[in-house]
Amino acid sequence: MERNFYNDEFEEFLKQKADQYKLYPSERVWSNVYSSLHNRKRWFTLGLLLLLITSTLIVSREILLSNYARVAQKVNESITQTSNSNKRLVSANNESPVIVLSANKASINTLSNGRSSKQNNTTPNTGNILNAGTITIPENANETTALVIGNGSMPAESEFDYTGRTNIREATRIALALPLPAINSKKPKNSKPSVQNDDAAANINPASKSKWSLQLYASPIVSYRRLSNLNRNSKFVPVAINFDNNIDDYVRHKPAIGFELGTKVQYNLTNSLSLYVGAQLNYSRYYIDAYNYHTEKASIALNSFPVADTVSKYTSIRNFEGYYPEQLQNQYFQLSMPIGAELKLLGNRRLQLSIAGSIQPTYLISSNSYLLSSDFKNYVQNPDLARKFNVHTNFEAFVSYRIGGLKWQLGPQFRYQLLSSYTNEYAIREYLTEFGFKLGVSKTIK
Amino acid sequence: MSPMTEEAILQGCLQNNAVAQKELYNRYSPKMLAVCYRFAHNREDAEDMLQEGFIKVFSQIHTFRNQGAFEGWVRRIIVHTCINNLKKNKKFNESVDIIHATAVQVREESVPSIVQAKQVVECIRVLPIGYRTVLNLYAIEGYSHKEIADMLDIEESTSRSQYTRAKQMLEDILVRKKILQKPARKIDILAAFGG
Repeated sequence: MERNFYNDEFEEFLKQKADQYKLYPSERVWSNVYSSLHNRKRWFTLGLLLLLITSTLIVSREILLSNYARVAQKVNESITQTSNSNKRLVSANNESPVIVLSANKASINTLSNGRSSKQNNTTPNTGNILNAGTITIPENANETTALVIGNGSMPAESEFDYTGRTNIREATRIALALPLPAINSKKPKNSKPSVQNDDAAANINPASKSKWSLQLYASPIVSYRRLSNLNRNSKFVPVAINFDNNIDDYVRHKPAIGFELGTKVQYNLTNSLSLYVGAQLNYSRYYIDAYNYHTEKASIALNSFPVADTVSKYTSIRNFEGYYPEQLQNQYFQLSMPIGAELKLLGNRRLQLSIAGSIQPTYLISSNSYLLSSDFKNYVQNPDLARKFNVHTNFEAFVSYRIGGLKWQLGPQFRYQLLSSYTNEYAIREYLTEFGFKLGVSKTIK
Repeated sequence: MSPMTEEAILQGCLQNNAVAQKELYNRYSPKMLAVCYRFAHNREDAEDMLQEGFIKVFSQIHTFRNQGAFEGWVRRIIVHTCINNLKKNKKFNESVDIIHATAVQVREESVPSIVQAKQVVECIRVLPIGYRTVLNLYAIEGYSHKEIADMLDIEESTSRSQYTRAKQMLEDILVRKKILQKPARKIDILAAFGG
């Protein structure tokens, strides 16, 4: 009996002491729990944005390819009309070959006294359009040789001897550039043909230079935080505030590296000025030096109307002192729509120096941030006080270089947040400033 | 803003409201971490168990049927998470130095009874993992030997014998550390466990 009583009392003693004991977990635990619970929404949004960017790329590619097909069709149609046109393609006594190169075949038609006849049979082509063989041009020929290219791919190296033959590769290049230069049959071998530009070349309508372009860009960014003093005009200034200096003097924060990814569509108003609109992802973050302490209650007084409200939270993070140092990280994941203009300052067609600026309506996709309590002593988390919609401005300068149909640009950029990261209910204002180095590539949409 | 009621917290958690989830976590995490700490090998493992346990709590909160206290429901999930973690990581095979208790720096209030509570918990943690687990489950968490046998995949008789040895060992440690005096008479027993 005594033993049973002793056993029950011992177990009761253990249970009592075990229940009295409490331990306070580190912030890492809650961060991981929160991420696990709310990651799905974030991944969904990320997936949606990736889909948007991928769709933009695919659509742009389709536009580019369909434009090439359209040009090829027009060119083929114009060749068909050439034989019926009154435009002078040949001299009275000479034949002038009309070389028609398309994506699938190469054929050579010759026009003689207004009649056309095929010189060579069509040759199936595996993609290398230059399979036309040798073309003989009479020595006294001074006609315009019409070169019609069905697609934009450059032919393989297949050089022709100019005495009676022509350098198709060079002629192809010239044809693409338009207008067609005149052919001088008396020119020495391997010299560049000069083809006179006449109405025959009008059959090949030069593609008008497109004013639209698509750009992709990325930039590492460094984010800085600026806190502004309490809104002293508010009737609901939090109580127990004994700090008169700038709030930035009472916090310790360090910049951290994030990134920016985006795409934009640009329209050239003039040779120097263009407008653009796009979509952009920003991941911004910075570090806060704080201290770990046991859990205590912290309050945030809100600028609310008509009754001043207070948010009370339990936190184990202090601003001024504690058991040991702890580094916090505030993170923001945003989607913006930059609307801006770009101005070329100087340069030529290849190399340019430009500046650009934009205004960016922004939506906060997600954030993980710590707020100061009203007495500045603690850091707490309250996602409800984060502002969902914001506006940023952006300014950048860059050097661009055009090569191979692409325009590459590189230069610094500066981005500033116009509205506070938090709603007006929170008395402390936070403004993020970001610096980055942007790399972009753009291509004309034809 | 006045503190949220438990009903409001539950409703908020059902809607995946982050504020409600944080509130629930803040209310129960200190006690639940202490539970995990009694099972775990070290504080890091204890926090891992706590993290996993709370994720399960929030994921399964829709299954809570208001039958019994919510804290008890949370505690059961946490305990099961601890046991699963120990079984998964095969921590039962690790031995513990039963002579020298490891001094662990943890935050504590300086109230004497709380200090004694800390000492008792540390003494429990000195026990070998198998003894410790059975003692935690039976003496503190209130599981029967049959339930313990099912959870740990052992025989019920093994659970009883392990518990007897664990209790004897713990008593010796508590006496050696002068947290407890070995009672000679019934009166001394009452005086020793009086508070």
